[in-house]
Amino acid sequence: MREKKDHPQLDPDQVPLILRRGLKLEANPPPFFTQRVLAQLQSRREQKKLLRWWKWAALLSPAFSLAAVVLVLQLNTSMFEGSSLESQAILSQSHRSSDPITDISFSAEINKAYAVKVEMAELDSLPLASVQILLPEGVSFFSREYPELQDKNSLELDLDHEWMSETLPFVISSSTTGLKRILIRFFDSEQNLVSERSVNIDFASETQDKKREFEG
Amino acid sequence: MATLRGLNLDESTVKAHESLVRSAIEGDEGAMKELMEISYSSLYRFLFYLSGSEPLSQDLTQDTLLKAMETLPQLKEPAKFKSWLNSIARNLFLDYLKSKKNQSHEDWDDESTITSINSQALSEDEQQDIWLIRETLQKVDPDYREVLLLVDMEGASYGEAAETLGVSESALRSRLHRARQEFLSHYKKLDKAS
Repeated sequence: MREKKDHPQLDPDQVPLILRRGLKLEANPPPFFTQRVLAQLQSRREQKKLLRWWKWAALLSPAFSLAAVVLVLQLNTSMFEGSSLESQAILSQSHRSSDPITDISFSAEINKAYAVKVEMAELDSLPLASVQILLPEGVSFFSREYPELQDKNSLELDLDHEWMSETLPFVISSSTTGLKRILIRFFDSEQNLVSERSVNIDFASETQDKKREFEG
Repeated sequence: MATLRGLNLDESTVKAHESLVRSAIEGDEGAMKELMEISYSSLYRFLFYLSGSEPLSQDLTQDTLLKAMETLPQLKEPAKFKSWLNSIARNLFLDYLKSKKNQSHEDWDDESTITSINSQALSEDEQQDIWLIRETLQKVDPDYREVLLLVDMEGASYGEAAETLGVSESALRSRLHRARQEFLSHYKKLDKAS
């Protein structure tokens, strides 16, 4: 029978003494525990690699050929120093923004696919490790080969893969009209934000767009 | 004399531990295994008293170590490995509570079925102590439970515990004071009843 301990004058300061009796509880890891954990770790890393590959494969799919307009965003490396950055936007087709060329705005039609290509060649000297593309409401990624991309409103990609081309390409479309801002964020290997760019696209319906052209 | 989580260890042991953590951060699998082995017992114990359940604490210990090994590169200060590990454990336990919506612990074991206790090395009194401490802690609010475990049982400093729990030191001290009172109130009743 357990001998009762006397606790005539227990006070809160004695709680640590009581609790330290609980340190008697020790446990050994089950057999092969560490091997199992390391195996699970390896498996998770493989899954992440596959997911990264999938994202790139999805972006580089033949959907580009469907794009009516290619919006090319050039990033000037000299502007990466400091916090204020500017970029030049070049439209390669007849659709032109009503805004000056220094403005990063485009006009586009809803329900049409547009390829956005961010030229990366000049960014080699920067400590970029990953990029995040954030889409506003109504805008979705477009890919015939990987339709599941449409459900995502953001995508994160590593920038150190062999299949990465000199441009960061992605195809988008919008189902709703209005001015939409797409954010492109660049991070270093410690997830620190190195740079952020935005692309503004004014989506209109076909009729609205024709009217916009007419009005010049 | 240096301290590693409130335990008085000689400087060389503390340095050796930090060196082990650094090697693990660099991806040395041997170091990762060793780190998991030496962390297992105290981590299991923390989760056992936190959750009150042996099967749950076994699962959470594994999940915690897996997450820790996965996110080890994010640990900037190897000396803070223990409080960082406890923080992961605590968060996983809280996630479990949210997902289970505070269901009662139906899988509580009574003192005769806590199989992980090395009963051959423990006297009957010691086993009873463990059971009574566990029972009492389960009656205490989870916020109080964790501060009691970190500071009073595991010997973490106020600063380390505050960091693990994401609160200020003054908030921690205040919480600890109330926690001790609540613990004592339940402990006396249970001890009398047992």
